[in-house]
Amino acid sequence: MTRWLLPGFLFVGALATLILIVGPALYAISLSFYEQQSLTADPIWVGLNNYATVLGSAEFWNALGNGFFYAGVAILLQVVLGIGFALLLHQSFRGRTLLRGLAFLPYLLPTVVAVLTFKWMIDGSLGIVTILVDDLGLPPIYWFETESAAMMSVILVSVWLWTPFVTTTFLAGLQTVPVQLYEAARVDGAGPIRRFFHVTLPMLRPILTVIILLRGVWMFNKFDIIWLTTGGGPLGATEHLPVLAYRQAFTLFDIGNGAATATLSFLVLMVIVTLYFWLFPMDEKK
Amino acid sequence: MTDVISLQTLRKEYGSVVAVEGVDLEVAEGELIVLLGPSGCGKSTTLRMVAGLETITSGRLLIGGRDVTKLEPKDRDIAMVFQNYALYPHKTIRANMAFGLRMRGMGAAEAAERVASAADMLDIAHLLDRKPAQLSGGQMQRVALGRALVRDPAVFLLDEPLSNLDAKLRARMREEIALLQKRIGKAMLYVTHDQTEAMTLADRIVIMRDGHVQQIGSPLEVYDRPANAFVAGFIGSPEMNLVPATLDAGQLTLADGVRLSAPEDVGAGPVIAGIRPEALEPSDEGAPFVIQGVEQLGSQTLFIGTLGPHRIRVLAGRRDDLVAGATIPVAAAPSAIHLFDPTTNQRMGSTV
Ligand SMILES: Nc1ncnc2c1ncn2[C@@H]1O[C@H](COP(=O)(O)OP(=O)(O)O)[C@@H](O)[C@H]1O
Ligand SMILES: [Mg+2]
Repeated sequence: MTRWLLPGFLFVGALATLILIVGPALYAISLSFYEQQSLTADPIWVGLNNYATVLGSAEFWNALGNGFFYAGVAILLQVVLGIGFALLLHQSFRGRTLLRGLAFLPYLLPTVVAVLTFKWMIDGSLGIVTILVDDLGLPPIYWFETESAAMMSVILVSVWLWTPFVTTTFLAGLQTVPVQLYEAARVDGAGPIRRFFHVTLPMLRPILTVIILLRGVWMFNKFDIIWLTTGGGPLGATEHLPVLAYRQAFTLFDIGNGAATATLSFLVLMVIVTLYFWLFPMDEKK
Repeated sequence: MTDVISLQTLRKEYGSVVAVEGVDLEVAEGELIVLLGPSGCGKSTTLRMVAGLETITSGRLLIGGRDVTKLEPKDRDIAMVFQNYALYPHKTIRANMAFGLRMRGMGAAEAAERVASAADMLDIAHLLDRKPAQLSGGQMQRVALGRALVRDPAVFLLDEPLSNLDAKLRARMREEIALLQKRIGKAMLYVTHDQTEAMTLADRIVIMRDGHVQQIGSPLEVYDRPANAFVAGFIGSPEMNLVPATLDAGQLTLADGVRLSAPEDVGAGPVIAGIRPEALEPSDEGAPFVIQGVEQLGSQTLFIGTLGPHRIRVLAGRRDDLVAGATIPVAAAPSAIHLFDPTTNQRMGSTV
């Protein structure tokens, strides 16, 4: 009985992966080779036509650039702030445990709730932030109305939501660094900053590598936050590949182009991840 | 000779726990001091207060005549060797050893020179380009020593540096550390719980228990004249036999019919008699010793057995003829018997 347990579970797992992930993915990729006006219409084979259309459009390159910018800046801020908070929370002070718990809270919020809360806070007439800004005598902030502000706002919400992930992971990592290394560095004459760069960072490099990879992939594919805040606007300023693919497929009912965009997005991500693994190997051979 | 280190009633409290209760110690130039005691007695805490890794609750610490009580470790002119080596795992051995020098602003060329000469001295020159993970325990130990050595500090601090090595390597490193220390002629504070290490290395041993210093003296002083029953039991291997006895008219009565000649007349009454296993000899007459176990050590034989109700050990020259079950008379030279007060545990009289 137990002899079949492990293979059995493995089989179920493989089957579920096949049906729920590989299948739909292949179906989506296959869609990119057809022209289809709606999900119920008969598909017509068009070869690589959809790809030619997508790659020839300014929209695609705009969305690709936006995606890189959004993911890049958001990760950078998340990592820098996340590490900063982790270092603060690693100090011993009263109420540390409570604060560690609180710091994790935003991560638990569903994106929809967080985005709605944020939109509510900055509401043009009722939002608490709007009122505060007004009370301080500052000019009103147009969070999502101008092109550059919209991008910054989307990044801001993302950073607020997912910095706790970095903080918590990094904080867990900090507990594993042997105290003696810090003491040795102190005796060696290294101050707090040099101790960070010569002990903490190298010791947590493997964790950091994984954090950046995970967060990077997540941010690049992050759909809900942009869709819920700006919908990709204004004027495509915050439209990245997932939003573009969605708009093509479900707003313009051009399922072929949408699928092609999604497939290209997947390919781009694959190239980047491969490059990343090659540049920052997980197991240090040296 | 001037004192390099001066500990003046150094005390450490952790909240309500007193880890170290006022240690006084003067260390001379070139002296190797071993802090010895059972686990938890405050050795490491004392050493770490000297290093500056632990704040000093009260008392004063001078290094090179300078009051360093409140200074950071880096400003104390000390170098430390940690129990688990504490090498930076991502740095090469070369970078590990040079780190302290570079942090102090020394140029790369001069630092490299110092690293090279220390590496030669410790025979690790061929390891300089490796990472710590590629070294054996003994090699890491050498590197840790080397990292302290290149700094050329006034004082070396070592916290159980050999405890992670196997017995053979430990003995060899012990010798090397002793030779190295004599060669560079710097003061060294060395923490261990191993009395053999203390006896073989130390110029002077500081024996601690529960945060209190029990005795300070050269290895032979503490061996010959232990200040109290605790020191007597801690120093020497195999352990000294400590048995309650009654002293009267130059006779030590351990039990009915079990008598030994006493060292000197320190009065009459109950005492604790301390007799080292090696001081007891099988002889023609003496107290009847019932052998229960025999351990052959090669050149010597260790007998475990009883004198009356007391379990004791006798370490004799090699004897192949005595087996468990036999009873033999044993005796000790009166001068080799230590007497301790049974209430205070302090040494009685002035027996050498
Ligand atoms: N950070 C600390 N907080 C509370 N108590 C401590 C701390 N460090 C050491 N102690 C206590 O101080 C005593 C001495 O410890 P230590 O100096 O490490 O002993 P040793 O090195 O002789 O084994 C022990 O009872 C230990 O429990
Ligand atoms: Mg210790």
